[in-house]
Amino acid sequence: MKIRDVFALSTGNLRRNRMRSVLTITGVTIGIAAIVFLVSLGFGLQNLSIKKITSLDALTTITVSPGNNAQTKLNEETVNKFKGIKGVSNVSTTFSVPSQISYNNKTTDSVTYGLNPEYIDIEGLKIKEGKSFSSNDAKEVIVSQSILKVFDVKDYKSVLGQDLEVNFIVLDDEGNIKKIDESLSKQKLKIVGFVEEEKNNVYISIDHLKPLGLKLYNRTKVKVNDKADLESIRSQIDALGFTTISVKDTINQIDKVFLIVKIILGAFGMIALLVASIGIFNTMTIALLERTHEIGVMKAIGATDKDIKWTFISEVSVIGLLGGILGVISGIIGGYIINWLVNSLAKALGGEPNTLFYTPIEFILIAIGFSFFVSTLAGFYPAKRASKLSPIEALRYE
Amino acid sequence: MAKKPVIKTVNLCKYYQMGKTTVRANQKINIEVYSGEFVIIFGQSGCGKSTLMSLLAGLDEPTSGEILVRGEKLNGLNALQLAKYRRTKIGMVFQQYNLIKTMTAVENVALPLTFDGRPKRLRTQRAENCLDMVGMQSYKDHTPAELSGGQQQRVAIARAWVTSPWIVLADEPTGNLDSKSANDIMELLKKLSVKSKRIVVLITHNPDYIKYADKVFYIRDGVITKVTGKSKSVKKSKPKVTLEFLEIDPKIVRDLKKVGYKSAQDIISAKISDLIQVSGVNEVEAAKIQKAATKFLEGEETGDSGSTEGNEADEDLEGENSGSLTS
Repeated sequence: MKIRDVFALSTGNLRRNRMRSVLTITGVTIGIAAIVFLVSLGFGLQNLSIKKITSLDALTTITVSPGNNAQTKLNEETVNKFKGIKGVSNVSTTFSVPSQISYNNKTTDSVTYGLNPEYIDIEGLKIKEGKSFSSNDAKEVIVSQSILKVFDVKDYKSVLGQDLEVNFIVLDDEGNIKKIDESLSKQKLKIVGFVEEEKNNVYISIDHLKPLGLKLYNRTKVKVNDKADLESIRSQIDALGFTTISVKDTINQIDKVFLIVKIILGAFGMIALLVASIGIFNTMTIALLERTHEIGVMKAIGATDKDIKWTFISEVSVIGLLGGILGVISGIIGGYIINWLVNSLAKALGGEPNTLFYTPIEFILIAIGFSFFVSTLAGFYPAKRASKLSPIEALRYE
Repeated sequence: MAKKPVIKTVNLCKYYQMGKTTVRANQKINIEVYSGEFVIIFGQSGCGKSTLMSLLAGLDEPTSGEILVRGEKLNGLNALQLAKYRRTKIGMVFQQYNLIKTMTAVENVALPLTFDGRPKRLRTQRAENCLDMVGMQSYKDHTPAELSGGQQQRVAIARAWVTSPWIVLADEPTGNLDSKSANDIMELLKKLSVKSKRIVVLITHNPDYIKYADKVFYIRDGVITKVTGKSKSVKKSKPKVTLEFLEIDPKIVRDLKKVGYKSAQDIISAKISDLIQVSGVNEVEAAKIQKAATKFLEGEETGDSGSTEGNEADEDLEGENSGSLTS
């Protein structure tokens, strides 16, 4: 029997009991939709959390801390060494000094970081309100929220444009406080923005710290051109004896966690598909009983066991394929609807809209393939039984 | 006997186990059926005639003994070969018609060809021809539910004929029909049997149908008790062996006819040397005639003239339907 004829025969059988076929396909559709919906949620949340903790810049940045010996101190010389590595686009350096800050007649201890205003993104500084430094030598400062809490500020926005007094404390090599001209160590700076941070940090342009005679950077950020090169450049820096950290580490951790989350979500969906495959098994077993006599007739007029088997299998394959395709479509539509509802709610409550669902194309294909496979598996036993029916007994069966 | 039987059974036995008792459905059945015969297996229900039919159809395996179809053993075939045998050499007509309910008449008729992997155009064409043959052409797109019992049985008969099988097996084909339809079906089967020169093996318990048969096997308690027949096989087995049939030069045939020889028998009864003198044929031709005549005489004893019959009525399926069981 030709494949086309097998197919025609099996689709004819599907059409004969339309209601039952539709219900069986619906079962598979729901199973696959559940899997697609839940796993897409997993993918969506994964993307969302990666986006929340990192920017594209962070993905191409390596944070370098000093190593344990004299050769691995972070100074001008080592920074130049990093700049010489192929694939490095630039190196951002920061100084840090302990400092005292005063606002509204209140004083507190803090750490002041001096950074290059151009590399503020590389440094991972996310300004919540306000803006970045207008120029390298502008007398401006960005503060953390926790400092504002210390100063008892209720309305954070009200500090923007206000002055903050910063008193740097510079230590010499022995750890004693170095005497420095007050014109350099005491600065009055305008607050231009604040960041969400739970440490008493303030950020200023590195230019204000340079005159203090600091030699060692507290850390350096190396930016690479292509994120594919990140690992190889990182290992080169590691080889020099420095300690490196990359957001990639965190992302790898997140990916691992979300893999488990997706598996758990998918497993919930699997329950629905399992029920659906039992449905297929049931449908085909009933079909087998219904068609026993007919199978006898077909065998009597010359159908082979294989013809019978393939008619059954092609029938469940069609169920699986249709269920798979419809399931993927419904799963994605379901995701859209829920996402839309959540975002409307978030909007009403003043939150920002997010993309909660994401379905990679590979996953769509896997889902359809899986549906096809599971359905065929469920139909295999009834198909085998049908093909092995003795024609003479099948003919007697009413 | 000039012909080899198409169906021959040798001590065919079929026993069933029903609980602790062994049912001897068929015991030492020895039958021979020849090309073109309309055969009835007659017996009361439960006598084992349906079992015999299943064995002939290759649907069931004998407990012992042999079934030979054109000399080939049926018991030796595997499942796939048996399916092929049923598909191409056997046509089946059932009491309950057994059409596939979801298919139209023409699809039902074409089904054996579908199983045989024939292209759609060919099988539709062939199925329509067969429907025409049983007078159901105008119902070709009807489903079985839209047809009367008699009409369904006609479609089933068309299905049995569609592959130009060697043997058509009909198991109580009129059992579910009123007497008018039943007679129509019997007439149709008889007509088709004669026209197509197919073997029809009909199972019945209705003695009225015995008149249709060339040969009747009476079966009781699994044993053939009597065989009657018009011995059609013997009569038919003497084909007219004409001079043309023996492929002798047409010119000589003309000459021989002029002097009164009509067939090879005539030649043999005359002296060859006389023949040469009378009609003036040369020695080479004379030798040829003698050889042909001798061949004929040998054929009279052992030859199979069955092969000369049957095929012209078939619009044959690409001429494939001959040869061995599984070809």
